[in-house]
Amino acid sequence: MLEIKNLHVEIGGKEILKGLTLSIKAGEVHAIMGPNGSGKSTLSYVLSGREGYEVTQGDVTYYGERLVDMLPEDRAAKGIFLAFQYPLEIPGVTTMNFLRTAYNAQAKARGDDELDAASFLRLVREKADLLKVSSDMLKRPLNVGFSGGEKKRNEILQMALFEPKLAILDETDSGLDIDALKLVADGVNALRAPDRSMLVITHYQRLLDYIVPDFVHVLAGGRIIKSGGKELALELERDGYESIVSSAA
Amino acid sequence: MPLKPMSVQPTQKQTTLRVAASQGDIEKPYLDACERVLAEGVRESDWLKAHRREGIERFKAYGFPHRRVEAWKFTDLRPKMKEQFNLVRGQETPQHVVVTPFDETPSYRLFINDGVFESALSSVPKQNGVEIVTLRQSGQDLPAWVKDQLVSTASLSSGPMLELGTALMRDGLFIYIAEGTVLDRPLHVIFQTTSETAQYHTRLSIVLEKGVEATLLESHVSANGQASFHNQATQIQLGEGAILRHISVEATHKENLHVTSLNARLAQSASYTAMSAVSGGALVRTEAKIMLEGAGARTNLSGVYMLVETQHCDHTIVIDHAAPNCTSRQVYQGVLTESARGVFQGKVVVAKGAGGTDAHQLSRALLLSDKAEADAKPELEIYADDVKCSHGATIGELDREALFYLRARGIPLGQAKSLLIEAFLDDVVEGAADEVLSAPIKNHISNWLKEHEAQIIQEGHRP
Ligand SMILES: Nc1ncnc2c1ncn2[C@@H]1O[C@H](COP(=O)(O)OP(=O)(O)O)[C@@H](O)[C@H]1O
Ligand SMILES: [Mg+2]
Repeated sequence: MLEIKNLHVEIGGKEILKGLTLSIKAGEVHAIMGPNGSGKSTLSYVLSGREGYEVTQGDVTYYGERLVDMLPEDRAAKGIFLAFQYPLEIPGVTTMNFLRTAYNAQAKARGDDELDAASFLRLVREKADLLKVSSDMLKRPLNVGFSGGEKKRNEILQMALFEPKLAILDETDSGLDIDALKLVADGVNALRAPDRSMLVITHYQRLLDYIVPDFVHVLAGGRIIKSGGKELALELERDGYESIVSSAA
Repeated sequence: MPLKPMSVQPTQKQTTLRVAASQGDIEKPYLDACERVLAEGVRESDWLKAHRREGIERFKAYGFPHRRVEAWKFTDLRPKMKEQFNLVRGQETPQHVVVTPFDETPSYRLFINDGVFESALSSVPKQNGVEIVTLRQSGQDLPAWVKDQLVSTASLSSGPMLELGTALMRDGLFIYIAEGTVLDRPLHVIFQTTSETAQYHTRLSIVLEKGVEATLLESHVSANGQASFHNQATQIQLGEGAILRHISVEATHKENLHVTSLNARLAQSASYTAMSAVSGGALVRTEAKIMLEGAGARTNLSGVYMLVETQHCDHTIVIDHAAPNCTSRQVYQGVLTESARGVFQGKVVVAKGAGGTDAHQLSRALLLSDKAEADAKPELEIYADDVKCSHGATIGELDREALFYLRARGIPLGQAKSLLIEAFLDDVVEGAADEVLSAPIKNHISNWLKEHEAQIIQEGHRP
């Protein structure tokens, strides 16, 4: 479903991704691990269409369609979802209003029925309870004054609502204590499905104890330098990035 | 009438630079019109004619405002005044009554068409303690309190536009509410422009006696697509502990000129809350002077503006803290796109002896295009000790990261921008009015955003 071939990406003239190749099939869970600054978030932003990221070489296709020139909102409507490493705070827009606006915008773009306030409320309540997102949180401005854990749960709530085909989780584990991590991981695992692929980006192996990947890739210096099964994550944990980066070089 | 006029102080001379040299060409047609009005004003008392004559003479001395005059630094009215605006003569009840944002709000409608009060389209409150007088109906024999209002307006708001208005005003609406009177609904003054290429000069005056609480809604709409010129003067006088909420919407056609001179005087513990929303007009300017004359008086002024094309909106405000322990707030926020321009000049003057003053002003503008412009000039002039004053001004763009977040959730660019703009503007509206009064304004903003989505999007944010 997702083919990334020899992807080179520049930000402000500086090359960050330097020939990244990755192929993900429907239903697979891929983990990307790598040191800070290796380009993990850059990859997630390029896939979701953030401005300022220039693809200078290579290509990305999603279900056979070129992704690079597609607007972010169109990608979202086609099922690409990014759980942000740092979810944005938006004062003045209540979480509930935001969720419904987004849900209906995607539905409209796909030609599906939009939901009225009452039906949408029912849908949200059902999903929010599982992630312990309180109705008070839903009434507050989006992410404003939310704790780190609340922000991440809110991201996963959105994933549950929008039911994407490709979910990219960018360091969803960062800043979470173990209980919060389990809650979020349970939420993600509940969404594993044969037609839903995931790209789980993390710096630490810990998250992968809970969200067990089919494949693990090591990203360093803007390229994938090593790929393997879930045991690669344990190897990284044991030996550190240094040894893998140097042995691959 | 039990009104004891507050002592009228001599006009605090603003920088009234006289521009006699350039006077002439632009002013001449207006001065000719003044003479005609005076000659024809048969149904007016000698007192009113003399009052108009004073206006003419003072306007002659002033000339139209120049940008060299501090208060007009950012707004150039002179070129606009070269257009030939017709003085509307006869009175015809309009065929068509335009919708206003407050049509769903229960109110007493006071309808002014082309500057003339239309009793057939109005619902005047009929109860003891409420007096409503119009210049046209009572011009031959004005009650003393109306004369007092005219005199204080002339004295407190003096300036070229006010004087021109004194000379040319077609009508005026004067409202007096006596102590102990309770109005069950807001008053809603509607100014509609019907005649094409018209100029009209109006007066609106409201006096609330001690302890009276009232809400004044004001709508400006047009029934045609032609340029018109409305020169308005508003006089507000609040007795001890009186409370006035004043909410206005400028939604006229985008060719309109609308200039307002507003003066408010507050006695001890009185409270004046004003909130304006400007989305119409080619040039809309409000020059307000709020005089906190009694201890503990409070004023809360706020405004939102939404401008496209070459629309120009100017708020120039002076707050005079003349007594101790008064509070003032100014919050003006606007969004500008294409080549629109927004101006905020806010001056707080704290007189000697006005200790315990608490004054804040804030101006924030969102620019959606490179050609849009915002000017902010907050000023403080403090002659007292023990005061708390602050001001802030920001000019910025929409938060690009927030926009990306919304778009990454499937919300298209135009809708994402609208959502952020709406949050920015609603914040001001919610801070100024309760739900009943803020809802119509929020609707107005929301409708404006829907109608102007293309202009809001402007340059596409291609990834
Ligand atoms: N907006 C930007 N402008 C310039 N350099 C950037 C920008 N964003 C990220 N970078 C640089 O790109 C590299 C990769 O960043 P990032 O993708 O955030 O790494 P990771 O998520 O793996 O920690 C880093 O060297 C970072 O400094
Ligand atoms: Mg990162």
